Amino acid sequence: MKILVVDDYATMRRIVRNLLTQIGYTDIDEAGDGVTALQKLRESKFGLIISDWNMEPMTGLQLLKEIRADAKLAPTPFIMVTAESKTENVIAAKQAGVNNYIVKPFNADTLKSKIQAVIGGA
Amino acid sequence: MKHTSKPFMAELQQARRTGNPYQSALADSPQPGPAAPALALEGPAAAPVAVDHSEVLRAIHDLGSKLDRFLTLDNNQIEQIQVDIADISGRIKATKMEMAAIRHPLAGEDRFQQASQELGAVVSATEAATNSIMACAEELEEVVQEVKASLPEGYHASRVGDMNDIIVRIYEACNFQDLTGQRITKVCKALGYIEERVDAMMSLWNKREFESMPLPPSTTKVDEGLELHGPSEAQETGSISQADIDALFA
Repeated sequence: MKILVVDDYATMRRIVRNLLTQIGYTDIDEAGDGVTALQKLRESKFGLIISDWNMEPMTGLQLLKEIRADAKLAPTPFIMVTAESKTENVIAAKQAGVNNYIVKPFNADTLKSKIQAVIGGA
Repeated sequence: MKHTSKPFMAELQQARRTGNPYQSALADSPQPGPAAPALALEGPAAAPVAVDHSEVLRAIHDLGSKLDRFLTLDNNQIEQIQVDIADISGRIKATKMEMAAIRHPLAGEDRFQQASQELGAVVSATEAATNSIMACAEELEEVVQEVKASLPEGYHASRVGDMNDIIVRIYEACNFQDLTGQRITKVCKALGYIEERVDAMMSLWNKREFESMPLPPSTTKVDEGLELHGPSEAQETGSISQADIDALFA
């Protein structure tokens, strides 16, 4: 399964990539913002999107809405990994169609369990 | 209500000129109910006119008393207003002094810019350190995988496996960089907002007023006449590289 990691912090993408590798996912691509992510999603098929929220010029929530509004991309599972932990944010993301939500900082076990909950195992 | 009317001087003079006795206009018009007492001047025009001034004098006296009270009260109020204005003036001056202490036009150092730069440097430094830690952990991971693959099942292979778990913990710990980066960015934005507000407040006044105010004291620590600035960027003016230091000691 190919995973797209979207985060404006290169270091964070690196962390997520390494943790994904550690838990058994090696087919990983990265995008530094929502616009690049959409471009990549339209060019190639991904089994899962792991995205940050707070990014420019397109936020993670906007990316999620774009994906859900696109019939071809809409079924792709989407996990939000973010520092935004306010209830209203989580609710807004859920209403926009996010499959799971991880608040930073997180560990490999949390990442693994959320991925399994979304796609049902490696 | 009983309506009484006193003759005007003009009416009396007219009555005197015409030879007709003065008759009030009220007496001419028909009055409902009991007849109103007509204030008429009986007799010839030369007859002395009895005028009661007491009421007018009383009214003037009352008016004078009222004016005295008003003037006394007004004076007190004026004094209070003067005190208030002096107080406001003092507060404005103190506020200006504080604003000048924050952002003196002639100050060599821009504290807001300095603080933002320092925080930006913190973000860059932690990012660089995190990447360095990550790179080391990644290299270590490769070594661990290699060693593990070459070892038979047993105690040593198990311990090498434990090392791999530790490497995962290093990755997890590196999460801090993203969070501290976001928090510091928020602080920088707040600083920028405060800076804008201070600038806006200062622009309401004449810039020269601030220039004449005393310069704020420097916050830089001084040791035996030498300023201690702490960490600085390599490209910062006045900084010297380790290579240049080494050259000095060679």
